[in-house]
Amino acid sequence: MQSLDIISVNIWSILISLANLLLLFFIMKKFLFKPVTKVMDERQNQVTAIYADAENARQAAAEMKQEYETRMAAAREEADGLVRNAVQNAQRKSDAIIADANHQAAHLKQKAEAEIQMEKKQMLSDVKSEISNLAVSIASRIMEREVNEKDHAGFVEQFIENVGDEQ
Amino acid sequence: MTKEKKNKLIDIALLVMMILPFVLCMVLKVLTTPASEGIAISGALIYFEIPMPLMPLYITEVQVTSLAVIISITALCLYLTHGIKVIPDSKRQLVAEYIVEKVNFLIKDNMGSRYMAFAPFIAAIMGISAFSSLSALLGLFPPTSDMNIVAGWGILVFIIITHYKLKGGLFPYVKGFFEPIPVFAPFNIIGEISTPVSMSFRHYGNVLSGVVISTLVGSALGGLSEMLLGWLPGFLGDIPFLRVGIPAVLSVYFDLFSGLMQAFIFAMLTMLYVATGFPEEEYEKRQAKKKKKALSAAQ
Repeated sequence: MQSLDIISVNIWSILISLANLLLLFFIMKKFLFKPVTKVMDERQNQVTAIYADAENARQAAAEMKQEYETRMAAAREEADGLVRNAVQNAQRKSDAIIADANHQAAHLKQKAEAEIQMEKKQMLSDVKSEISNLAVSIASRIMEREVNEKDHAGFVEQFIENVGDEQ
Repeated sequence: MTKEKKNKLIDIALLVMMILPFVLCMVLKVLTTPASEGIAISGALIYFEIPMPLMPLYITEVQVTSLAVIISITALCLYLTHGIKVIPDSKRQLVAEYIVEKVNFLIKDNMGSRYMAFAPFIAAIMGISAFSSLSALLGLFPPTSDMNIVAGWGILVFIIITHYKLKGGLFPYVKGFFEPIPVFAPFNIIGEISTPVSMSFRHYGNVLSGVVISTLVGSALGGLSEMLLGWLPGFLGDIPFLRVGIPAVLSVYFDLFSGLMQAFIFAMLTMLYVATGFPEEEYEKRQAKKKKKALSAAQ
């Protein structure tokens, strides 16, 4: 079988080779680059979507956290207010109770003092009457005559009063 | 039949389609190569010729191997992208994506992102050149060592370059030949034409020189073996032992390295020539003009 020369020029061969390269270009474009690019773009889109979702979720979480924190702060304030109110109430109540107790004590003391005073007066008057009786009986003994108690009681009393004053 | 089984069958069919053309080429080569003594450095075998105007078209080894290369690359593309998914679950999809990404990156790096449509073309140049050169490893006549094949690619690249240069306007293109002074016109024209010539001759010469040197070294080693080991008794004396192993080392350089290197160089030169044919500033000026026109039309 015949061989070509080692260096030979053939226009048809050149054209065939040119067409071959063009053909391979279209084959590469259709069967390799198109599907791969399509899939890669799709993946890129998916990844972008996933990232966007993640970003949204993160933002939502941050918002929720913010809200939660503000709510927590409000709740804490409220609790603080409640405790403060309760403490104030208790203080007021206790103050009132103490004041009342003081008042009552003072009242009782006053009453007791008044009673004591009254008793003292009573006792004094008892003593006076006793003394006046005694004096009358002594005087009647001395004078041997009936002294009208009713007439002289005022007199004796006055006397005793004077004695008491002099004391 | 389940879907999985069907997919598996398609995969196997594609793999067969990838390998079978080269096997057939090898069978054809073995069947048709005439037994020859000594060194024979010649072109491709002619299987038959078709009469055409101007000159006959020879259907040679080169045409057959080129066809095998195209079929094989097509099958490879189909195999790599078969069952492609948004979330990859196969290694071949990763390979396909790696190839596409690398080529896209190369284009973006060397030409700019406005030439992204060139990616398949560059991939095609690299693929066809690398596969053609590597077919020498199978004992085939590498199509890239035929000048016509590489010349065809060079001419196609030249057409593309000229197309992009003409995009800058016919007048600037013609004017470019008369710069810096009109006397330079012949040299500029020669320089223009020498682009495809130098590109294709560089590629073709590298591969052919590899073939020639491989043949020379192989036959020389055969002779040396006969001289040194011819005294061995019986058929042992006829076996050229020195031809075992040593040519393989040369093949690693001339077939593997040189073949892949030339494919890369050819693609790089294509990118550079096309990118410089229609400069960035010109493109932007045009885009601005277009925008202005669209704006005025809208108003």
